[in-house]
Amino acid sequence: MPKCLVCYKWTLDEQDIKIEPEDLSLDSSRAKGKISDFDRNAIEEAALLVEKNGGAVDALSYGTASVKQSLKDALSRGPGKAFWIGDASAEAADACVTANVLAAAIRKLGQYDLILCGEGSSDLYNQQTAPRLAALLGFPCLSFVNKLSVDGEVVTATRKLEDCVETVTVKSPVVISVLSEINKPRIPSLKQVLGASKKPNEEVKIADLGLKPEDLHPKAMRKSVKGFVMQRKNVVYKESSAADNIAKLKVSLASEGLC
Amino acid sequence: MSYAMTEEQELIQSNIREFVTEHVAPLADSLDKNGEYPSEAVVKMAEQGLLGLVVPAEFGGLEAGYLSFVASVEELSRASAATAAILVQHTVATGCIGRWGNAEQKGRLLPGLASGETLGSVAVFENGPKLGAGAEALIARQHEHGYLLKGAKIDVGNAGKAGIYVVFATAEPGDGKKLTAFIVSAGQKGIRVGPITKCTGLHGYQTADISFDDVFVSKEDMLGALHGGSSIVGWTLALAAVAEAAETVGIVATAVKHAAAYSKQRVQFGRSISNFPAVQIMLAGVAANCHAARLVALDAAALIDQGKPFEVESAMVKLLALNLGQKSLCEAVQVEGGYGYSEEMALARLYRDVAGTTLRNSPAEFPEKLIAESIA
Repeated sequence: MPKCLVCYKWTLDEQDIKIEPEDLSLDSSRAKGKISDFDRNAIEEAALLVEKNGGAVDALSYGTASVKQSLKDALSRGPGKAFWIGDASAEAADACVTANVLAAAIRKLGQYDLILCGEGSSDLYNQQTAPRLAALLGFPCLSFVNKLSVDGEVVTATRKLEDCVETVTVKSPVVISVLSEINKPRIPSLKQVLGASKKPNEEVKIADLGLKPEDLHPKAMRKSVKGFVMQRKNVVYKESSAADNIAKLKVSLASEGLC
Repeated sequence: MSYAMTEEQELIQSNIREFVTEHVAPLADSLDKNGEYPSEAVVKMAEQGLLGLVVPAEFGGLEAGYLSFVASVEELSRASAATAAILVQHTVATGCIGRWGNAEQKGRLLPGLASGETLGSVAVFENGPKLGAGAEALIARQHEHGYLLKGAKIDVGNAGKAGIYVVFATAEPGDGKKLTAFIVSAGQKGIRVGPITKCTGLHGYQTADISFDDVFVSKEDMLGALHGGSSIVGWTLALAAVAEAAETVGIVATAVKHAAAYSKQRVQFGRSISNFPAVQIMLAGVAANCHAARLVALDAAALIDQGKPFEVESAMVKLLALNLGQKSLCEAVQVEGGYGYSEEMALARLYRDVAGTTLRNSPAEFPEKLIAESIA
């Protein structure tokens, strides 16, 4: 019966982020939080594995103080207990810092058979958390997973790679990052939503993780973020006949490799 | 103010938003076009727990309260007010039994209503000038071990689908004003559900007239006290008014969002019409009024949860929703011009639906009379 830990990120809902037309800066002042999309798949996969094989699922998240807002949402989706690390260092954390913090927390929390992550986060999509975490913990890493099964200590995963699909087996413990196609996360029932407040959660203090200052110092610093706005070309064909207009459109599309 | 949403209530709201996106929004247009009862969506609502939102936990419900219910109704109505109307009708009946039923009635009926095994409905209106006064008024005559109901009710929601109706009848002996509430099973002999009414909007939400031909109800199925129906009907209409205002708010929220998105795409004189003050004034007015109506509806819902009187606040909600609904849809259609009037655009359905949410369940003396009389 596998003991699973799902690492998830509490991100801003991109639908609520507004791009200022003047300088393309992002206005996230009215953006609500959400569990990163791929991480929902990771939570769902862990819940499915436990429903099938028995065992237990816990959840772990590292973020700013706002990460606490995510706990009931996460717990309503299957995990039995949530651990959270709310620290200001998360504001500027890169994938390296995130992995350092999560790995230290996992060492402190104890042994897990499967550590699941989403393939990438909804906001940065660095795709680095799982491989870095595996390296730090000394576990094998299975990324791009779109099918997963567990039989005792043996974990079988199908990985969807750029030019092939491979099926691999490893012995747990293992770190796994899942693709969105691995499952369709269920919408928790209202009973599960209300039941989440009765499930336990525990804060893990970053000061108790034995990390050195350099472990929390990001190697990549984000200087600026700008929104991307698709610009219309506003080309209008004004030939007298429709056939000529279509011919011009065809030439234009062909010149851009679109037909 | 009587309310501030708790974290759990916000979670319920966002959960229902997710539920609506997945299970309700994809059906909304076809529901409008074919008008068929959305059985699948109702089953999904039951599985989600929506049908037992206000039912106490000891009877299998979620005991999440009326604020959660009203917030959920708005979320549903953003996609399909017809689906929301089914929930509203069910919850008003469920709420009546929860509020006025005795222990035996609650234990017998609420678990099935909470799980969705049984759908509920409330039958209030009659074809006369007021309840108990028309030729077809529903009269309850005393009979051995109970009463016989004879007469008719009109515009009954969830008609033909409900398993339980909360019915208001004038019980003899009485002076024609003293109503008594009864719980009537849809399978009772003598009940006949008329043809489903073809309505302007809210397609898929079934309403019909129901006739009662000496339908027997036992004394155990009397809800509240003999001649105690007036306070129950007042509470019922007040709750319905709050919920229907939430339906209106949901529709208007979607309409103004649609109109705003259109205004950004529509170019006139070299720039999008969203930059024109005339368009901004229309959109801003609708958005502001919608926000105000939402707050008042949630406030009234919080009063119900707190066990405080809410009838006057409910009347205010109803009045605001009346003013908001159709005027807002006119404004939204105006923004979209000729396209907005087209059945190809979403606003046409919303325009027809808002007629249903604002005009149904509106006795002539309500809400202005109640509000005016309350001013001290």
